[in-house]
Amino acid sequence: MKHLITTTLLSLIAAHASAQQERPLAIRNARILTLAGEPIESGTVLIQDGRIKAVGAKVKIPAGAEVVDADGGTVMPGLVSAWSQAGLSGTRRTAPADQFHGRFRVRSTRQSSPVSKAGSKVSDSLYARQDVFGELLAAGVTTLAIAPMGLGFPGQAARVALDKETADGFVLDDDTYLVIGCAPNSSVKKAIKSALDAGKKALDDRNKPKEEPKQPDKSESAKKPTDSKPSDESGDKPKKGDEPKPEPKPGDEPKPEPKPEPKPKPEPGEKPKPNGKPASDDKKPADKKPEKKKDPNAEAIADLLEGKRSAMLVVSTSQELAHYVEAIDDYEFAVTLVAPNDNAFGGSLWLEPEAVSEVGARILIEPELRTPHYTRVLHDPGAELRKAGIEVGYLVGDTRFEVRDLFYKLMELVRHGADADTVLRGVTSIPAAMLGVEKDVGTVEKGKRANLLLFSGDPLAPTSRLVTVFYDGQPVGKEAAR
Amino acid sequence: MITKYVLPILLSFGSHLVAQDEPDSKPTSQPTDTAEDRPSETKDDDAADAEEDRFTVIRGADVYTGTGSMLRRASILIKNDKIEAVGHDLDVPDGATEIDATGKAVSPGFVSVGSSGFGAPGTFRLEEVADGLNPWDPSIKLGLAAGITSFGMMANEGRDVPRGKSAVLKLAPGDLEGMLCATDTILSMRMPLDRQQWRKLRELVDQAREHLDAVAKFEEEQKSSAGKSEDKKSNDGKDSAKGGKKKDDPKPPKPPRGTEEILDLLAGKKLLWIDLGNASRGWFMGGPTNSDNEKVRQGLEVAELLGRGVVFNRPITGWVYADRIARTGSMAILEPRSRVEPDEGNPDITGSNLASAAILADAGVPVAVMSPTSNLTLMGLYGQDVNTLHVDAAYAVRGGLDNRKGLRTITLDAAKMLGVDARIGSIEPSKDADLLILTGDPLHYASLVDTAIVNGKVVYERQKETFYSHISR
Repeated sequence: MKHLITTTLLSLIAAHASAQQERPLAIRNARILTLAGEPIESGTVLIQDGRIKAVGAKVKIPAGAEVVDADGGTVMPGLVSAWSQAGLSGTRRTAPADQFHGRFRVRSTRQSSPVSKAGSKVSDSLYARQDVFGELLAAGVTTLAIAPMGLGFPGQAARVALDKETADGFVLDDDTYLVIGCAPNSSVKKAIKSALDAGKKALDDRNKPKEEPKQPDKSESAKKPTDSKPSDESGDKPKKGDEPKPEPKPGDEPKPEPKPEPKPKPEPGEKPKPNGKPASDDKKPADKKPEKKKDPNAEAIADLLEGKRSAMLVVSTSQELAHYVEAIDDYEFAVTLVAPNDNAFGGSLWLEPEAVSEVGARILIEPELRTPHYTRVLHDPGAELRKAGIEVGYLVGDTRFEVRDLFYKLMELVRHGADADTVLRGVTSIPAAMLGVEKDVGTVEKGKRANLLLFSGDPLAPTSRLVTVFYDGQPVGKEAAR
Repeated sequence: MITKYVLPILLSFGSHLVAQDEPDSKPTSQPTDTAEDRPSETKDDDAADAEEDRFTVIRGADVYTGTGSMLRRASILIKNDKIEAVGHDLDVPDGATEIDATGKAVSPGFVSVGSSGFGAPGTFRLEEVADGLNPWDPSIKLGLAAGITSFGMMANEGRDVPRGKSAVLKLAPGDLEGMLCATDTILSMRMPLDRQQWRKLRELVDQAREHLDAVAKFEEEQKSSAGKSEDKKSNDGKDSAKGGKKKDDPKPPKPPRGTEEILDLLAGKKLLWIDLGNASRGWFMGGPTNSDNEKVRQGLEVAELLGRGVVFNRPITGWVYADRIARTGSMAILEPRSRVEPDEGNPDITGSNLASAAILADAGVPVAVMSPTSNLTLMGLYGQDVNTLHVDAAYAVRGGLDNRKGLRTITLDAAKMLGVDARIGSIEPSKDADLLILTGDPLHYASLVDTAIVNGKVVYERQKETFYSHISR
């Protein structure tokens, strides 16, 4: 079955790749949830060269355009998954021994030992040829950011293309945001604090008038990536496609700062060990003085402190949040919160919206109704957070099963009184803004990438089917009918 | 219940009857029947004198009867705990309580075919389910808010032979008597069986058939030697064997040990649920990994062996055998929301099918729908699952099931799986008055229960409970 899907995908892509340039595509007779204003009851989306060329009730379809009749169905933007572990542990083809882990979602941040490798990139440990990406795309996910797991600073997330079978062009963006994991645990808090201190020091160095001559190596983790980031997002073809360049090896020099680099992290397959040998081997002779080499971990955090880089803070409870606030001391930088495991015993974040808004103005939560402890009354956590002015996005899920359930869960939220448009923005435009790609994806508007979902009816109604997923204007596949 | 009335009446009716009919026995012979009916009627009349009949009328709603039809802007007349009439021009007695449901929808209360909680005893031993009920369990109101008015529960399920205790309970807050709808309507066993278990089952069925033959023969003999003791008819064989009070009569044959359940099944007194082991793996675990073709086939063999339809509990590949399931007169409980991937080697006949409900219904198989997890514990993430039974039914509609049959899967046909479709599951005269007044189409996801009525009494009002009162709809 999976092979079937992949081969169909492949042939579809191949078939359309050649035609992509010339022929416009029009989806007509559709209810369009633009999520950038009122829905268009019956309209047309015109697509050319992978972008939305026009959208509205009275769009003229040019002669020669390929026409898709939506038959009264609904068009909405593709799903944006802003924090995902898809493909991280489930490398079924490469590591058969790992396949059982791949079946379950790994979302525990309960590892006891923190890491401090803010400069490392999850893209270096990603493998493009995994079924999960095609499956997620077929289920409706068109933007996917993969975040490393761990406590402290486990590294940088990457945004990937979903229709690639090879590494070529797979990584769209390898420094999407920094991940911070916090737990009520003194070693974690110390690690966060000392990493921030190191970042501050690097920032101070950076601001000193005498600027060290730049290292000739193209270390991605310094300032450079932040400059190139916007162009990456707007450009269709990312430049930094060829993925695993093994150079951003943090911690190759034993720095004076007390930076814990603990080995005991027990995931051999997941991330490259920060102190890899080859990097230090080939760089040492080039350097005259070890002090001159910049620590990519500290540089990444310096960027964060300078506001050049965004971060996602993984805290599931208000307990963890409180310890994070204490750990960062008086450093100030904005983060987006991610709360993947609401836990009433550790304190539900949505019950403490003030505490949340002091740390960040945006949060990603599970799209689920919850009961506060000791009651049986269901509440909508998103609604409570929105009341406090916090922007709420929803976690989309790491497998096609979870993505299918997503619509069911969103339906429950709407049934419970939430506004359908608001809830759908929580899986499209709001996470797009969290990734900084809101100019490109997240709504059905002119100029945006034509990542669209066509449903047979109301996307939230259980009676509707996802008919077609359009990725950069191309129909990429259908959800399995059964 | 009946026994409370019957016993004293019978006592007053002469000793020969008392000796014959122990309180438990079902009245099947003619004299007992009338004897029981007449006095209990007078008893009812007495009660009616004391307290007037309660009449309630619901007006102006679109009435989804649960049988598949819908009456626009119709009225429903309820007398005490039963539905008296449904239609457009009803004779409503003076003093009836009026409920205006203009612009709303009325549906039969939803039937959850397998749940626990809702005031049912927490223990898994169901011997005395009636004595363990909690009519004030707070989850009852929650269930009503979700539209559930009755549910089936099972305990001591059978493994390789039909076995088990069961009860159908109603969500009647505060009404201990009203909560008990039926007991012991279902037996269950689990597939697959190994060869030895099959041999044992076949032996039991053979023994049961032999016993039935023996009973028939015995009754024949009794009839031929009739005349001397007319009133001492042994009706069932089983009952009189238990009674054992006769001194001089030849005893009817005793059922062989272990065949009691089989006899109930052969007589159609109980339904047999075929558990395929799928329900134990929740959808959040990715659902069952194996296809259950072999188990379904074995279940069909059981149905053929008994000559009676069985109930397939959540088959994955039931759709593959739709015709055969229909031919055996069997039924199916489905979980349209959960999906199971087909085996890569054999995709045509494995894996779940969204169209299962439609395929089975087209073949003539009654289909009930259940949520993937059936309990309303509310402790974890998935505790809200049974909250939206109507959405699960809508999933079946998405798979191609006729829209009108969609509602049946959680009302009348669900009641059928529990053997109580004569009492609940549809809005028809003489049925129990268990119904919902909803804000819209019963199968639309955003529809909410405004009022729930169980046994003719209003037991839930949205505006008065915390669950959904904040939503204006």
